[in-house]
Amino acid sequence: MKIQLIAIVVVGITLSACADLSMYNQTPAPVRGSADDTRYPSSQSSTAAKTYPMEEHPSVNEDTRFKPAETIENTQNPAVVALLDSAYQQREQGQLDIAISKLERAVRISPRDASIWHQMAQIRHQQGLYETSLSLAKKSNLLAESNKALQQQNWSLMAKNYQKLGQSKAAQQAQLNAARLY
Amino acid sequence: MVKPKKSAKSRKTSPRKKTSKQKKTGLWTRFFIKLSILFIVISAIYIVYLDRIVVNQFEGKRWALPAHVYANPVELYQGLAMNTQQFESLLTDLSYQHSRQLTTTGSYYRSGGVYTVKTRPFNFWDGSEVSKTIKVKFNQHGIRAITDKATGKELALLRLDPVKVGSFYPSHKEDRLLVKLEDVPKTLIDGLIAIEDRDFYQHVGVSAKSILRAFWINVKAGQVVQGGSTLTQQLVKNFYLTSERSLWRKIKEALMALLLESHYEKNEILEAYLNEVFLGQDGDRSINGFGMASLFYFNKPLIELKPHHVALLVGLVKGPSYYDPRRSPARAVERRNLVLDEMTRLGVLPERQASIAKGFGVDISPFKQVRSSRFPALLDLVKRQISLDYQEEDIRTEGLNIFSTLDYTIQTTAERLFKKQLESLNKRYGIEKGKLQGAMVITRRESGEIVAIIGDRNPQYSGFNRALDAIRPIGSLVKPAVYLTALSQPSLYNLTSTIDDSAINLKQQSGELWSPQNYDKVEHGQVPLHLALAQSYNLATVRLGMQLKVANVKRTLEKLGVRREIKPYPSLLLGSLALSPFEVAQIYQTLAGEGFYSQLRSIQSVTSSEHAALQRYPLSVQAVVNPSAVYLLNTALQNVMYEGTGRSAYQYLPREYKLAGKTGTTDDLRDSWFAGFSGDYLAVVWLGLDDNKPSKLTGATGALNVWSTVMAAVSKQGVQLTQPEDVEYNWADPSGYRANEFCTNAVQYPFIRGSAPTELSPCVSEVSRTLERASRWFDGLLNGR
Repeated sequence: MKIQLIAIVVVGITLSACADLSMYNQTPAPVRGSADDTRYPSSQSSTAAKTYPMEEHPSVNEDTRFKPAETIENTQNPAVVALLDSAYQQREQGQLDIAISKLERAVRISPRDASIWHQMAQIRHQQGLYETSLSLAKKSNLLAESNKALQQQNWSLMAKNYQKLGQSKAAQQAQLNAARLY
Repeated sequence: MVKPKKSAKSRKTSPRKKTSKQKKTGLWTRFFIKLSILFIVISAIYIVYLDRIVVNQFEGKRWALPAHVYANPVELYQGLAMNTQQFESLLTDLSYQHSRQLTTTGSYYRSGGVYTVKTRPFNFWDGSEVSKTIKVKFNQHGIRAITDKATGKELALLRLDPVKVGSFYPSHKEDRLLVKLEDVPKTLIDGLIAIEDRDFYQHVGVSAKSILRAFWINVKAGQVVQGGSTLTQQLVKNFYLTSERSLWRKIKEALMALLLESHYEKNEILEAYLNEVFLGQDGDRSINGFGMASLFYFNKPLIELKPHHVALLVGLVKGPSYYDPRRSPARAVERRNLVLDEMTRLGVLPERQASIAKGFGVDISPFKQVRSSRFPALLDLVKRQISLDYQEEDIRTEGLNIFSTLDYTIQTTAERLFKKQLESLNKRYGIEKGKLQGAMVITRRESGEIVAIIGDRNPQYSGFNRALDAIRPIGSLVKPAVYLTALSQPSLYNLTSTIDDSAINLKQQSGELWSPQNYDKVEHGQVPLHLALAQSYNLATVRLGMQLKVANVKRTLEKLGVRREIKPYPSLLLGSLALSPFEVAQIYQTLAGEGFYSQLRSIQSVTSSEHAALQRYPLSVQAVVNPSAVYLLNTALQNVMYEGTGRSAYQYLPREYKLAGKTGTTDDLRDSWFAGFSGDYLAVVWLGLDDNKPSKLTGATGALNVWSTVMAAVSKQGVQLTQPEDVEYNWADPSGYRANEFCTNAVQYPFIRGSAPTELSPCVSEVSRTLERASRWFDGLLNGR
């Protein structure tokens, strides 16, 4: 397990380095963690530890039924980055509803981008809409799949929401989950 | 403001009273005096009364403004999968004009794979977009780059103005776009005054001079060139009075014109006139004011009009239907040239400009604004949703801008294909001509926004909106709720659990015996859960549902989003529950959203007529069912499409789309249903007959056919399901025993951790068994640390 973790970290660092060299010279959106958020397909292996070789045998079942989906690499669209950026600025200016509106536009372009859903959850929390924020953070967490950094942020946010909602036990558990992802 | 008027009157009359009193004291005279006083008092009261009317209506809300409904604006960005043909058709939908010079906003030209577009400005809820001239470059994948022509910089994103999809009109159906005086070209004002009321800035509301002059000019010309009423009188006539022609009304009109002038500036009156005047008819919608007329005839904002446009509009004032430039272009041009001549004669238009203007043809835009009934099912839905927050009166008169979630391209594509498929099914299945009816709802998979909605076989008919109001038994569409209830108890059920597909008799509430049957009338014995769903076996489902208890299935349906009362009878398990296509979409939205409920929405936001942000209808999600159980169910629904009742979809869509869905058919083939989703959209289709007679269609032969055709045209993404952390894949054989990849017939299924079968299949060899044990021991060792 340790070896795998090291491998993931190495791959992660390599990928994040590549990300810096990416094509468009965009300023990183301040709203999302920069390199941490890069999704690396390799991290998938950490959950499915196979102890016997699978690739040596021609697959008996050719069809793809019930096969787990391969993680599709998900680079963030510049349009989404621009909207996240703009949402961040609106949020800084206290225009929370306008920020949400920008994030919804981003969702229309990239509906399964977990970081957008996380931002929405953050703003809803700021607005005191804890139930809504909680659900949004859960949704973000589901979509975050292998993005541990984002999952950790989601758990922390969920903990805060549970706290506000007076569910201290759930808050503790969420905090614990967040801590485990450090 | 009212008082001085009254005192002025009485001051004028009182001296006369005194002198007459001194001279004679006869009975008749007294009577006459009394009568005069009475007359004066009554007149004064009447004038005060008229004054009130004039002021109140002018000060208050002058016009009832219709609410306008817009489609979701298209956002262009690098990487958007849109080809040049689609882009061009989008520009056509937005009524952008082809023009090399880009003289007006809303125009474009193409050179090779590059479009240069001058966009229209637009005010949205979250801010405004200014007009920009941009270059859009395409490659084989879609949009390669968007650059701002002025700065040369790349734009990450560009939001175009939205297509107007309909309006909610006041009862009189007047449509207008209010303009301010500063947004009106000077030539228009000059021309209008030259033709309609030359002394406008001099007179006090009525003008004897202009009546005489008009009379003289008309006699000289041998036709009516000018009218005698001032602009103020015309405004009063349109604004306050009926169209009745009588001397009394003329007097009233003159009085009110005087009163109006006494209270208000010339420019205020002129601005009101420009917005009031009737300038055309479009079906039952009347075009009022120059702002709307400019869009209606030229598809341009007023300020962009050239002298030949302006003169044509000015000419229309006299008779919008007689001079209708669409119906009688020659007559309209003749009238326009007359206006131009008159303007030159009075020195408000240089001769050279007038002759250039006269060189133009009628120059009318081929685009008309969208009729209010273009998308009846959508407008109906928007109306119902907005009525929760606004009064009917306000919706029809406040000039609200309603930003709907409609995707114009998807709606129009879906309409076209839906209509075509229904006609062909109607014929193929020998259904009485024109009787096959249907409805369709398409939403965004992740947010529940309605992108298209159809309520009739002829989508543009307004009337019975089947998408919302056809409440029909949902048949097998209910089954996913049964299986979800099972999969939510991982200690008892997984996808490979076997269920007994054999005859079952149940006593109904009424005491009658209920003996459901399979569609093929065959009992299939012990079948795995996923197969029972894929093949939509009724007996297995009823047996499973009875084990789970009907009340629990009912609860699942409620969690998924059913708000209607559900009777917990066993027949619920086979879909006796009647719902509208819209309500079905709400249930499946929760499945498509991987366990998160999102209320279906047709409105994003509302702004006032002045573009102030009023209301937003935000995206919200609510975690209602366990995502892991939904994940399992969704993989089973994908299997419905791969090898079950939904497989014909793959004649239209590529297998990589990994569609998830379910067919539904009710007794005697009365209702044909399909509900399912791709990566980007969820759609529900219902087909049947309005009189509830058998339609001869199953879910697969009818609704699925329509669903697949439409989805193949609109969907761009395959389904991606997020595997929750506590879900793992394991091999299992057809009987549900744990297997491995060496076993023939074994398949990998997802299981909620700890629920995978442990008993090994006979196909697993001794060597593998040892290996398996070793691996499990090793796993245990690792996880233990």
